[in-house]
Amino acid sequence: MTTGDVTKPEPLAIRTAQASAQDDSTPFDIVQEYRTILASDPEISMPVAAIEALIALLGRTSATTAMETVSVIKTHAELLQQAVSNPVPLKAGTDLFQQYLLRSLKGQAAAGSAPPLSFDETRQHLLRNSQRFVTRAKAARETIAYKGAAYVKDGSVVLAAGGSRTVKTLLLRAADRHVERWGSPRFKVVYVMDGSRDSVPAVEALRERGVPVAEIEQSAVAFTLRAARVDMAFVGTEVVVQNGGLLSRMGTFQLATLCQAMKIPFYVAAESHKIVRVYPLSQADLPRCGVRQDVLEFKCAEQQKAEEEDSPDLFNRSFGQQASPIDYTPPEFISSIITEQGVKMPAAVYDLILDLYT
Amino acid sequence: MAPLLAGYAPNLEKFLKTLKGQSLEASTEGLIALLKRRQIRGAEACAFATARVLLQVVAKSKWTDVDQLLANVQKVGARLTHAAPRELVIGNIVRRVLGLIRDEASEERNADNEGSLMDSVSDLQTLQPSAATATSSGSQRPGPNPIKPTLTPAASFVSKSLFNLLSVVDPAESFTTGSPVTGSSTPIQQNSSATALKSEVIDGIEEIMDELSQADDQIAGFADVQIHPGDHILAYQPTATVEKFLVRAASKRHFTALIASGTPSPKGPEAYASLKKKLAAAGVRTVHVMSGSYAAYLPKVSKVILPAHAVLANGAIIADGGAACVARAAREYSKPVIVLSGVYKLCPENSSEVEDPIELGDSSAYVPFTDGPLVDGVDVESAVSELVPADLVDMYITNLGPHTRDHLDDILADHYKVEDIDFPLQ
Repeated sequence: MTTGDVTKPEPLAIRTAQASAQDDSTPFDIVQEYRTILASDPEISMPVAAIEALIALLGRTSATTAMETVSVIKTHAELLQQAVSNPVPLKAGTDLFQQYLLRSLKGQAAAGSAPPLSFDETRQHLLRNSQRFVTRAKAARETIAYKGAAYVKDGSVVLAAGGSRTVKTLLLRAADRHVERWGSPRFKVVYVMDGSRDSVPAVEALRERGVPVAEIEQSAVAFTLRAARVDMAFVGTEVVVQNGGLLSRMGTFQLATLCQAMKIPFYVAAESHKIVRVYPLSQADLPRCGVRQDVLEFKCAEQQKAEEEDSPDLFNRSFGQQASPIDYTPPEFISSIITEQGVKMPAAVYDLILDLYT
Repeated sequence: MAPLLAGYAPNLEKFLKTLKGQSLEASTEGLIALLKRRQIRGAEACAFATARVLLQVVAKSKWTDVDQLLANVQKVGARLTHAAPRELVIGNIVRRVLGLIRDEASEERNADNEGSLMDSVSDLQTLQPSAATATSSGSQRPGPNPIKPTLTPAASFVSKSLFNLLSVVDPAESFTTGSPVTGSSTPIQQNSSATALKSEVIDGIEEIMDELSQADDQIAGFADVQIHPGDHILAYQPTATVEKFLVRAASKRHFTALIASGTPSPKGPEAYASLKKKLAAAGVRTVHVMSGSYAAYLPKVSKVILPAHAVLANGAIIADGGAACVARAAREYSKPVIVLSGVYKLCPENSSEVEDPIELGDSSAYVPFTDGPLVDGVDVESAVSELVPADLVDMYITNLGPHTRDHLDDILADHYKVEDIDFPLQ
């Protein structure tokens, strides 16, 4: 993708730089860095953590030429993606970062923003402002919450699923709006609890604000959509893919299907840095997108027995430790995607991607 | 209330006549009163009246720089939208005028700045502490920009790029560099440039008014492409827009027009007489379909045409009460539903954001007031306007041409500035 516009590096410089990068007493571990960043801040999202890890790499690498830096970044981005079972959210971050670097090589300015910077200036800018990007990403969540809160009207019943922090913020803002206008929150929330602990703080925070919240199991969704007369559903997502669909926590597709069948608007709250250039064709296509998960395992009694003899607690292990599985929600199930850059129809996602790669 | 309106029932024409020689405040108040009393209603009339009053704001209100002008327009615009919250086009026209002012101002600014340092250069220099301190334009923005943890709604609606996360300029501030229209803009020094801007903006608003008056004709221009010989076209409560469309098609095509009236109007089959006469003159047969029997005709119908009060960003439309019923019937029989609407009716709001799309109104068509016992005994509700969901509409024909739903986003982006999308909330 970049071979066309290589600024010719001096061969000697590369050799020395590579040597020193490997000889460094403590080699830079991108995966470790990423995990540390993710663990240090509970509010940070995976793409932003990946970007932060790459910025840390940029600060540590001894690469001197532009192309060398780009290739170091590229190999480490791949390393990082290989280390996790679902690399798509990381890809959203690393791709954005790499495209930004490459753009400075080509001397292009990002549409609607600053004038083109030289490669060195870009590098300096990235290193110096690393913390600012995190702040911006969080500010984006606030903006989404502000926009989405307008959807929650007097007397409505809202269904929320998963532990998305964006959705949590959105509902809290909606509660604030209602308090401002009527003195108390005048909507109810149904929270789908999917077994993870992520949604518990959201439920607590909402109840704290005086919003009545019902917790339901995933199997009760269809019943609840009708019984509670749900007006709209809000979900967060791990990534938004090229065609406007979602790759998100298992159960999102199921919820979207039910909402469409019952003609309930299905809104997605997603920061624009979660948009990624991946195009899944179907549920079965996820391995091609790099997702490694064993959700489906067909077994007969013999295999089951043999495996149990091998390791009696395999069943528990494979379900307990695996990173939460994901599914693919096609764009036709989505009413709108609320981003900090405005409320988009799924078809508009492609325009944003196009801007990134041209 | 404006005294000049006393004594007779005013309408748009009379309102426009009173504008001459009247103070700005009086004409604003006059329009607000008319809007509140529903004496000016309907998208076309509201849009036109709004444009005229905003023209007065630009011409008569006191302003020395662009910010003041924008604030004036926003203030008057907000009062008008509050006077008739259901007429979404008022907000659209205000946004168009605001965008127009921003465009003209940035053009002017660029012309002024030619040769001197651009604002954006100062951004670059803030990245290099060793570089000489920014001169002239840099003085507006000393040092690196502080991060704004809580973004204001207006500023946060940023331009369309995924790079915003990493960009050098804070996305919220990228407008400051591009255009002079936020906080720190410099006043226009010379009187000449202020008057130049004023005349540019007035020209622009006049263009908008031209667009309003031409929209129906332009939409009608697409009629003969959409209506084929031998078609059966069902038009639900045809407005002036639909009327022109049908009449234009009739001049070139032989088809059958089915005119559906929703509420049982007191005039009965006499309604739409002029349209029927025009169609008959062109040799087009018309059938009047009374309320409730659309499904009986739909197997024969080839296309359904709906007029819209407003088209929302997600493709849903606000239309006359009963339109959703027709659209649903058409979907049931797999007949295409075509919406006719000028671009000025396309709103950046989503259907979930519109406060209450269903308007209840006069139900005397169902129960006459002479029927005392019934009027006393029951509440009769009649929807004057309602929301037709986006998935029931197949095509939108605007003055720009036919569009699909996915294309509406682009039209919105072409017509409104991102800063103005949240306008009534400001």
